[in-house]
Amino acid sequence: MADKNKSRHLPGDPEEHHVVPYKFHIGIWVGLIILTVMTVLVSVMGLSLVAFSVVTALVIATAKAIVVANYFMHLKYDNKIIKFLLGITMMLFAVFIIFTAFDYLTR
Amino acid sequence: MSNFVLENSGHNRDDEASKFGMWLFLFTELLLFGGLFLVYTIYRYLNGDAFLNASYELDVVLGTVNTVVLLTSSLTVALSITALQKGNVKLSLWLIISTILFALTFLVIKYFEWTAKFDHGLFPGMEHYNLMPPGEKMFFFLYFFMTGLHGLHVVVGGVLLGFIYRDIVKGEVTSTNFIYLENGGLYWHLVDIIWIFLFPLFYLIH
Repeated sequence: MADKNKSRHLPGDPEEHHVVPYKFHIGIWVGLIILTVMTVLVSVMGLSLVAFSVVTALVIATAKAIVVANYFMHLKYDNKIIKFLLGITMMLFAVFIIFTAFDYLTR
Repeated sequence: MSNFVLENSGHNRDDEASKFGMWLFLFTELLLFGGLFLVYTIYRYLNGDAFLNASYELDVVLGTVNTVVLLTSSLTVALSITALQKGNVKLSLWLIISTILFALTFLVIKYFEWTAKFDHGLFPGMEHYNLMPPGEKMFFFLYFFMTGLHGLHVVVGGVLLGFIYRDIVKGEVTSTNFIYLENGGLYWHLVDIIWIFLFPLFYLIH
């Protein structure tokens, strides 16, 4: 209900902003460090599994990026349109990758 | 439209548009680095073994330390926004200072890493580099280009935070007008996100 009027606020009105508590940020940071340790361990210990370590490294990196964007960058609390446009940017990037891959994989 | 109110506050401000503009800029940054990641992916696909061999030259320990440094700097800048919003200016300033110090730490570690590579003649154009197989050359070319461009972003981000620090001291950025700090923080987090991908791609994928 209240959300309907959310975009009609006075500029600079502090009420409109979601203040993220200190502890919450620190919790996010702990999570990010744990994910970092996990990637390093997978890489150092899984020497013989190149394919596995590539996939895990990228999955973990993406997870970390999503956490940073959502919480540190406040995307979760901001106007949804930013998230929407970020999605479009990522889709554009995916198109670049897919088309280039088609080219190289079919030569 | 009954809720539409135009406050006559004497100044023109639109924080949401400000943040939106910052994000549009960040999208272009994402595509800039995205293009480089695409180049990396294709050349890695074409020279898998050479990339693997070359990646063992990089120091995983220093890379990991730098990742932790950058993640922590992201935390301090996020905390400084919370502190300013809560009106704790002093804490906010200290957190910005620590963010800048972490940025410097990152650059110093990077400096030592690069110097070690120079000593081994791995920079494009150096003797050892010229004798390497094409795939390994490509790896080091991309390594220096991408970490160099990222390092440049670290410098820019640090300078930006320095200006914001000055504006907080001058009272132009306050607990009710903190969009500059938020936008500076957004830039800093982007720098962090790019490193989050650079780190595993160059150091970890063995």
